[in-house]
Amino acid sequence: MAETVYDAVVVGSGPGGGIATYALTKAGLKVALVEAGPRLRAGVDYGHHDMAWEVAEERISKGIGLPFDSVWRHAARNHFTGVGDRPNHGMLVALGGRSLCWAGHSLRFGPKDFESWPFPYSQVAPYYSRAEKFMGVYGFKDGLWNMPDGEFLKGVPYRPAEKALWRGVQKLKSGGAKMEFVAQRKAMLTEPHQSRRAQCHFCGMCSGCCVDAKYTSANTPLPMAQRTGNLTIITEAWVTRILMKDGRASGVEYAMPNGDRREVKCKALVLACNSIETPRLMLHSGVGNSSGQVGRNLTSHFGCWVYGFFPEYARRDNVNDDGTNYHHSLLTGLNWDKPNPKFQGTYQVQCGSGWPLGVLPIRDVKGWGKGFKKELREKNLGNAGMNMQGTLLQSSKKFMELDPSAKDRNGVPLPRIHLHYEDNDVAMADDMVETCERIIRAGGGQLHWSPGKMDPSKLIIDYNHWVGTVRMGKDRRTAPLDDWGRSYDVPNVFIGDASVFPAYPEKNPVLTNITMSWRMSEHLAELARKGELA
Amino acid sequence: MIHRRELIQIAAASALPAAPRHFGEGPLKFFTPAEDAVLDRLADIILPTDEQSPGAHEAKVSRYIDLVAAYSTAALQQRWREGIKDVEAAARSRFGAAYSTLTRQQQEELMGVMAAHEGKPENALERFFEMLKPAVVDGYRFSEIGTRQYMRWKGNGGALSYRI
Ligand SMILES: Cc1cc2nc3c(=O)[nH]c(=O)nc-3n(C[C@H](O)[C@H](O)[C@H](O)COP(=O)(O)OP(=O)(O)OC[C@H]3O[C@@H](n4cnc5c(N)ncnc54)[C@H](O)[C@@H]3O)c2cc1C
Ligand code: SF4
Repeated sequence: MAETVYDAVVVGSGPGGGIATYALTKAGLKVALVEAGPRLRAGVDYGHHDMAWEVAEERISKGIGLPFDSVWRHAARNHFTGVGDRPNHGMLVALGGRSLCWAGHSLRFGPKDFESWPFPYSQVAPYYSRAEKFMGVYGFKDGLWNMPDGEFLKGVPYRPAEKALWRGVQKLKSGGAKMEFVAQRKAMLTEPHQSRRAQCHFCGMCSGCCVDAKYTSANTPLPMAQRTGNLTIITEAWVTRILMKDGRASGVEYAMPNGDRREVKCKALVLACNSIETPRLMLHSGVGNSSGQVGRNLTSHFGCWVYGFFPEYARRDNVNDDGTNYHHSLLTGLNWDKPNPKFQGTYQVQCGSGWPLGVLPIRDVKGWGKGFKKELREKNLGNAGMNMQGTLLQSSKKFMELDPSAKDRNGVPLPRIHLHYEDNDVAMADDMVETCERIIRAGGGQLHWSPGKMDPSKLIIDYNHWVGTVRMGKDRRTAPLDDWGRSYDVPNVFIGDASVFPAYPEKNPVLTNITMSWRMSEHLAELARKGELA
Repeated sequence: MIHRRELIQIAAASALPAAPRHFGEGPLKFFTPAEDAVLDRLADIILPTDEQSPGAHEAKVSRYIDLVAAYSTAALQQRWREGIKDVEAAARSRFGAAYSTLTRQQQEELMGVMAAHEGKPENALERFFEMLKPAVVDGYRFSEIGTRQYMRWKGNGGALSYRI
């Protein structure tokens, strides 16, 4: 029997791999999707609508958290080694990757953010529109120049105490401060949608949506790709090596759960394993690194929390603070118009408030007895939390490489992540904390908790937002990929995850990852049509 | 048409005992009834009944802790057991009687001793308080009383009614 040679093999089914698979199969290419993890079913393998008191025993006995059964419990731990300031790396090895557990925040990068990319925002805008319509993103039209409005479904407002933050921002703005406070934009359905996913019912379990109201690779692009008849999905197949022939990728080798090796052959290869695993695979296979930049330029978001307490909301009688997760609002627009003299780059702050089902945002209340019980209730009713998210300065001190000795069970070196907070990062964090504190006070609140003066030991890396390790660029000496996401060195290798970002603003990665992967995939399909990949 | 085999399966399924509706409705898993009684009172002193809602006793918080302890490591199980013993010992040395025979006022006085250095415990009894309190708070928020009466949770659907 002749060996099957797929038009394209896609490795990894996270947000980037999912959309690439859809775009390529829709264009008529025969595609094999190779995914290391198993298929997890929403509402069956994760995400359950149970009341905590009814399922306490079952959950506790299985080590599953309460109140929510988050899909994040399936996460792969310790799949990396680290050097420096507590680096970390999150990975969900399952069909859909971290699109199963992401919070859905979908913010366009703006014209300023694309200034250091090889193409301007205006070229990307139509792709953004297409991605938003495809995913189903709710939001309000805010008219912000550097976080442009998209194709939104009906928006979800923020909770009561977030209004106090809004008020604080208005006050500071009237004193000349440059900032904006808007409702969040999330890839969750608030209206009927072409994907026919269920509509959101505001249960707040978004880290594993049991009804698929939240967009995932597994519930939208992959079923649609399967309907084209052009897709083969291979799950529980960990790719261990890129196979090369005559300077081109001829396929991949993968390990089955029992350790056996298989191969799958292709004309074009799309890597979408995430911004740590994709460069790892390239470095291990010795593919596509003539620039020496694979694994470099690593950046992510980092930050910490500040909590405010607003007494005016503490005695609300009737609580119904459900909604989509905790964060319903966003502080943004900081340092857009002119750079901050104290640091490069900028940050945003994801804000939330109130007391969603079974969640206790405020726990650090002292004492016991009636006074404690009352205060615990009031602090939770009147809290507003500010989760700061700044962009880590890209520098030679932050990168990933192969660990010289530690290997995974397939014998592939583990990725080793280097993270060192620098003066720029600390200065930005100081500014974040100061700004949040000012907003809370201006909004009529008290500071409930703040980290105070910054030092690196207080900073938390957002280990799910790594990007930049296989960047696009106009010059093949400084970038592994061209401005479509195609390898300069190996012309039939393409990257479909957020490794490709040449620069990183303060905004969350997934919407742009999907947009870029879709754009790259159409380019790939076009090259295939012209016979350039055969 | 239902086949005989399926009918048997359906009959077998419906013969299963009904799952408990709330923790604490089944038997104790780890603590003895005497230990449970101590935990139950300690929990109720941390979160007592007030005008907002019934307290930790009605919410069966000690039975949540029983589940947590039952499925935790041997080392943690021992810490729970010893913590209860420390409370008993403190009751005897301070009031010369078993904890369960003390008046509620005496039990509250003892809680004051346990919580004397909250956040910076200085002895075994104070360390037990640090372990106990978060478990009590969790048991309460996961209970039906905690959710429906204390938090006043009324089901999903409020989100769209907020006005920006
Ligand atoms: C709790 C949580 C909340 C988040 N919230 C947001 C948010 O609100 N907004 C936002 O923009 N981002 C959010 N993120 C981040 C976002 O999920 C990630 O940035 C995104 O999923 C990365 O996409 P990816 O396709 O690059 O990688 P992944 O999602 O990691 O997917 C990679 C896939 O490839 C597979 N894979 C890896 N290596 C191999 C291999 N060698 N062989 C075969 N398969 C392989 C993995 O199993 C996985 O399925 C969140 C993340 C988490 C965990
Ligand atoms: S709030 Fe909406 S999106 Fe989130 S888990 Fe519930 S139904 Fe899904």
